[in-house]
Amino acid sequence: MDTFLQDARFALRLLRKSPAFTVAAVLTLALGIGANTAIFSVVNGVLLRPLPYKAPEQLVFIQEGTPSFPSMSVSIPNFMDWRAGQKTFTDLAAFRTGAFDLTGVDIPERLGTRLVSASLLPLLGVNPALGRNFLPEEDVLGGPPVVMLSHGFWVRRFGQDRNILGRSLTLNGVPHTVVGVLPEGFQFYTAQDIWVPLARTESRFFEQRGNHPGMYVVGRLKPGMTLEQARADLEAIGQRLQEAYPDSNSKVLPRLSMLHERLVRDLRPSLLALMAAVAFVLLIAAINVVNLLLARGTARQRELVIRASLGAGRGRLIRQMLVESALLALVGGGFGLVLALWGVDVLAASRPEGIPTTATFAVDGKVLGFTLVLSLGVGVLLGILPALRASQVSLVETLKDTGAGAARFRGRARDALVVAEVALALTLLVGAGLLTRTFVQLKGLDLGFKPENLLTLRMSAPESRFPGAESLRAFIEQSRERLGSMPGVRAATYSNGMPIIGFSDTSFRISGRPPPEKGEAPQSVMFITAPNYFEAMGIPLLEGRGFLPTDRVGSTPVIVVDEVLAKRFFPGQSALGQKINTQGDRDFEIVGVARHLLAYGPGEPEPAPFQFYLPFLQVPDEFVTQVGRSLTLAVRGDGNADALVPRVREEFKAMDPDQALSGLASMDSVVENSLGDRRFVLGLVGLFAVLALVLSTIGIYSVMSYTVALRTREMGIRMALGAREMDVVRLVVGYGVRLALMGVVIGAVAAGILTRLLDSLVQGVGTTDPLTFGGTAVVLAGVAVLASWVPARRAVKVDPAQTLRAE
Amino acid sequence: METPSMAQQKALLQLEGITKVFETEEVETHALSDVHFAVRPGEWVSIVGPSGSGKTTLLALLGLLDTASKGTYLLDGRSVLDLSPAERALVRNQHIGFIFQSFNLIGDLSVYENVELPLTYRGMPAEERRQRVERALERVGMGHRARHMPGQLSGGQQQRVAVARAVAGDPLILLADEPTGNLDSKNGEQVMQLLAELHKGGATLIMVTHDPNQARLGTRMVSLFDGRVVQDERLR
Repeated sequence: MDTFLQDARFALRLLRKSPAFTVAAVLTLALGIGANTAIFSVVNGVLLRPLPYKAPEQLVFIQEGTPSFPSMSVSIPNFMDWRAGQKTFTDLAAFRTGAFDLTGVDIPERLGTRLVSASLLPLLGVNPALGRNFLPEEDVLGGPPVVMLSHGFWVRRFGQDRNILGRSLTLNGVPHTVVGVLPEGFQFYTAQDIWVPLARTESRFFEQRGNHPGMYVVGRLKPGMTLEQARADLEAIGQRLQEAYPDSNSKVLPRLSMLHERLVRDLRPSLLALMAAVAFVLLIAAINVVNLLLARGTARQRELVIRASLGAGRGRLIRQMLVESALLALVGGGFGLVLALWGVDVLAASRPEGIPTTATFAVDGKVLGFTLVLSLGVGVLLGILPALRASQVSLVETLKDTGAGAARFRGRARDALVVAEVALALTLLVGAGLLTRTFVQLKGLDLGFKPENLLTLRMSAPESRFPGAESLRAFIEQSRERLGSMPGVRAATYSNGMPIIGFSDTSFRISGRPPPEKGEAPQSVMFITAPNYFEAMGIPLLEGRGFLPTDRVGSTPVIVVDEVLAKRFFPGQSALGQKINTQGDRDFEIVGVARHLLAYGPGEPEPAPFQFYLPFLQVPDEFVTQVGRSLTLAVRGDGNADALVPRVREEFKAMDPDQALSGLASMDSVVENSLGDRRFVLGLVGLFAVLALVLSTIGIYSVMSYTVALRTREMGIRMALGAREMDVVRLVVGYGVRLALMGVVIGAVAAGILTRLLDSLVQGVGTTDPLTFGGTAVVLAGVAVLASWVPARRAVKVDPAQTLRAE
Repeated sequence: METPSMAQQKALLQLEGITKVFETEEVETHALSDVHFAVRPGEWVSIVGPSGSGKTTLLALLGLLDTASKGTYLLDGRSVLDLSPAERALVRNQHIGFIFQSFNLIGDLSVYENVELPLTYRGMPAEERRQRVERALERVGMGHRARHMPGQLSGGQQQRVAVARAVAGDPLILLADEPTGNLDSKNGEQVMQLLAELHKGGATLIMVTHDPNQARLGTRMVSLFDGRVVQDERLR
């Protein structure tokens, strides 16, 4: 211990003695370790930290699926049967998302709403911060209307008024009693303003077993039960339901996964790619510091020889060097932690929507431990080469001051490190290049409609104010006409859904053809739209026509299908005049074929691969209230869509002061947000790639500078023998480029293997895209030329007369 | 005594009024002052003088490794004082061979590659280079060591390789700076013998040396003191 402290004291003294070296090494390491710590805090928050609920390892996520549609939401009657029949869970709870209009207040508001089973909060082990949870009798159809407020909404709307309990809020025209306020910081899936009992869902969903209304289920396993046992338990019930309800439940089975796994499943590849990218940055940073240490080793050679000649053994010398490098890495780690604290704040501020709300980015004990272990690991990595060299020190050689063997070792080591550095940088740059190419391609994709200058918003027309089909139709059409005739507005339209924002899907079959097997009917995205939807949205009609004002209730039911549906079901013939059967066994005649939309967003999978459109004005009276209560409007202006917001609000206020508008956003921003997760990952990988490039440039530059300094005499000799400036420049730059090219070749092989890990993140371009590989290789070779050029220019300034003066 | 015009006509190398001043912030040091000096083909000129007399500076000027502050320098009848660095490099490469005190072989190049280096800079075709290198190495008795690295040779052998490198390009003139300074007496003698053979073969040699015995091997001895030529003695 005493000798260890002695080594540590000596190491500290050395660091103080060479401030330039110490600052350069510490800053480089701080950058590498800090970036790793910051990213690890994200990985820790998302992948490693348990969910913030009681015994989260017992929580299971349940949805439904068929072999053709593996990911479906849960039918409410099925859920009720599971709940009644299961034996492996302490309880099950369902939840879905909705929107309720808050009216009877100064500024009406459309509130994001979580509809939940009364069992959800107890199942998660969470108690309201104020008041109480829903009672079982409030969670049944016809039960008393009650509401819980999210903490954020309580603060925003009611200024944390503790007397809120018992007050009545008019939601969708119905008075609801406030019974509780959720805890601050409590998160469950996406943040919502209010929670209401699941029983506030439209009653038809409780009756229609074939309807899957965007509802999902969580369950808590009984102690000792496994996911497999729970799966067998629920699947047995699912099979009984298939037999009992073949029309609605054919091939439908529950699908179970652990809740945490389900939440982070899609993020895992991105986060692991980020960890790999940032680890590469640290390796490159460490290589630069090893180069500094090797250069310093030249100056240290005599000291080590003296130590050895005084009896220091091999192990002792190795330890000495390792203590020094570990100390350096720990100091770098300390500064890195400071950088990470700042970095974590930046990451938290720019977190994309795809990261679960339950995940928090913070520097906790686990992150601190990671930083410590990482710093020590880097310390050993840094010290290993200088330590090995120190342990092989040749007393005779060094005391004779020839040092040829040592110089050769260090020369080879430096070359190898530059090669490794370039290889690492290339791998990282290729990864960033592939993600960039993917991103650019996705951004450049034709969405199938024109998002420019398009404002979208959601409006509602609750039954309390528009009780019948006629009043509802009249209000919706009036809204469209008034918005469309505003100055600076080219058109206004509406639909039950909008691409990227949200829409419903439904099954269908081709009329006159044999029906598909139960549960195997094709699924299509369905838009129920205003007559002018195609023109206003800029959706090209490839064949036939759009909707006409005459397509009303009573006329022939018409439908417009997308090109994918037309080609799939009517190959080699026109789809026009054919009929589609959907919406409760009704036939619709195809009158148009529209361009396929990227409805789920650029690069997103399409669970429902087909799309069709129905005219809203043709929806029968008995269904129009289901469709028309909540519509999305799109207003296309002459210029910036955001500028339309105040005028749209005024127009609605003039029509209906109680109208609650929500989700006002330009379609451009909606499209941008849909790429948010990719932008987050690309931004970070891109940042790390730039860092890697800068660090490798510094690395090549410093090695070339040092080499030129060591070879000053050789340059003088060469010039004395007639080498021109160009010859010397070629020599130095050629040396740098040769090393870089070796790195490029090794890096290209490594990248070819490692970029396969990016498979799930790369689209529209192969993971071995020659353009990305070639471009990156050219960039790195260019960087090597530039980084060698400056030392080469210095080399030609060598005075050849020194070859004589040094005699 | 020859007339200046005759000397100019026949001189391989001619310095007129050469002055070299090293300027620092406070001091001007006159390393060479008004040096007049001519060398004819086939001469072996030994330059002697105490430390600081300007021997090395004169050799650097003669070898175009440095430039004079004043004066004229004609090499083979051509003024070379105002050449650009690139032109000086070309002249060095084609017309001047250097033999240094500490050999100045490049440690990472083999014996063969060291000798080949100036020929490479000349842009000579590979086959001609090979022939010249082999001939030069044979001439100094080092042909059997062509693939060795300098670090594997003795000092004497290294200096022989340096001589081979200097003569491989058939220069007009050979400049040697204390060629035996880093060698023991036996190796030193062998190198001097080699230079004598080269001279016999027609080479023009200018050699800086401390050793009066070695200086007397030349055909002429020029003595410098305080940057001036104080004696120019014909020996043979």
